[in-house]
Amino acid sequence: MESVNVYYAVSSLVFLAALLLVGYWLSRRQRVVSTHDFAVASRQMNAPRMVLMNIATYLSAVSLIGFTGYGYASGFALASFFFGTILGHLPLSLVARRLHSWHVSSIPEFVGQRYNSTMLRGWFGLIFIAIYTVYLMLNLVGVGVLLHSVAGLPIWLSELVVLLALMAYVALGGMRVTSLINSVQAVVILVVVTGGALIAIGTAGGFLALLDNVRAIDPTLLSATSDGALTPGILLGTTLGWMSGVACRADFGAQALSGSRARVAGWTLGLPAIVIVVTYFGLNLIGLSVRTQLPHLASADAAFPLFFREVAPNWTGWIMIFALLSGITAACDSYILTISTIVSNDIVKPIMHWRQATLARTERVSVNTARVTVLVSSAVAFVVSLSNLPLLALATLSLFIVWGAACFVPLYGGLLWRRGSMVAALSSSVVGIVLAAVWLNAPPFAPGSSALVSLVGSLVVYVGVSFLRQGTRQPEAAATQVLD
Amino acid sequence: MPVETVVWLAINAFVGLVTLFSALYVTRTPEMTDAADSPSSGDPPPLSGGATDIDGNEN
Repeated sequence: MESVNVYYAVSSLVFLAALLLVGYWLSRRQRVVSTHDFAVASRQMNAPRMVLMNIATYLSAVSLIGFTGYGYASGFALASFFFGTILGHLPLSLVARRLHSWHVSSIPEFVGQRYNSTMLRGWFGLIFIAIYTVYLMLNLVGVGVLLHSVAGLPIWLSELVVLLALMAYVALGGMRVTSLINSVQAVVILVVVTGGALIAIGTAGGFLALLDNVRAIDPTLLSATSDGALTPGILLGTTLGWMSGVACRADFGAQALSGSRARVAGWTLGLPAIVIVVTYFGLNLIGLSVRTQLPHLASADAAFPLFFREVAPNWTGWIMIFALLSGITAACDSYILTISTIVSNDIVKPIMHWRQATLARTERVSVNTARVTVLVSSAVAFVVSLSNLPLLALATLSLFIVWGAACFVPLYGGLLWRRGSMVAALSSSVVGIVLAAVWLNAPPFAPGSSALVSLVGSLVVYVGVSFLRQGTRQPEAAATQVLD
Repeated sequence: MPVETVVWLAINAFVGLVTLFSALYVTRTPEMTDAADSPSSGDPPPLSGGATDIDGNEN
């Protein structure tokens, strides 16, 4: 059994306690008055807050540890293997104004309005709920392993205190409070990564000296393709897979929808990409620095925490903990916010309308449902994450491929092409999922082909079915007004 | 550092910058931005009842 590291354990608990208290206090000052307010802060958010929230949401602790570990194990191959995660921001940036012009509270709601289909809205809602629930569980697994390895805390306790710290402000404050807290956490993460990269360069005696040290360990670490091991076929598949998943992130969409003006959506979806490029480079340097100093780690995932314990000055240890905890909580609260928003806005609210409930009652029930969902989703994720399921195996490109296959074509088709019909959207989504699932399990005669096959197949079905069927008059008219 | 690595890093940076400037470009025009946000912009009517608060008042 790991012995408790009192220093890191106390630091972690102090951070989480402060998060709980500050979050609760902010929630009491900024009362949520509607589902729209809960989901997108009534579209009153400014650019700095949403940009930082976007960055904090993306740079979870799993990302910090995972990318540093990849840099440790594979060096600059990080720049090619994860290129798709950068490229995925480009489609989002191109539709920033169009997306913002739809006064909706979630991506599934946009899909429902665009295609005039409550069923399609529910279908997309269920897809996002499933995906974000898996990601919440993955992050909790990461939380447990991380705090257990660094601070010696029991896994179940680590996960529980993290969830308790953020449930209150997510349930009571919604997007408004969550975005404010995440923006502070993003600053912490960026300062730590930047500082870590500078320390990595400094301890090696300069950037070129660091490269020389890396070359002495293993020259392939300097190659962006691992000396050809990452073939063009593999890179095409990984690029398309990561790209299509990132481009369909419902939490990014909600952040863009929260902007007070379209320009806020532009900054929110445009600026993080270049920030993440710089962050990747910093994490890469940290990973390589650890590789030169501790070349025989049993697990590359230990690179990030060990850098701050073994390479960086001792006093940076607590900063590292704060960065990791910031990443953990920023990702978890965003996933929980997304799940609860979709359940209340895209499942419960349409049901209430179908039952012809009054608007006031609908809003009351929806907001309360969102709060209850925060608790329920957290509890479910907590229980499942402790069940030793091979969840981490899902935290791979495969999930992004299925995600993109299900959502990319119908979502962007709806934003960019007025002829796209509801039937086409639904059928392309289903076909995309089937092709992705089948091809991922096919003999690996063409590595990386599953993303290409599923996206192309989804697109062919979408275009073909749209041409074969005339959309209804209402969605075409609505789509025409916006797409013009 | 191998040339391919420099190229890949440059591609990453290029795409990041293109993403930023594309987003700013498509959201660039104040008139278009104001038009998109105004009630007369032609936005489709909210099918789900619109944004109202718990007391039934519109946001």
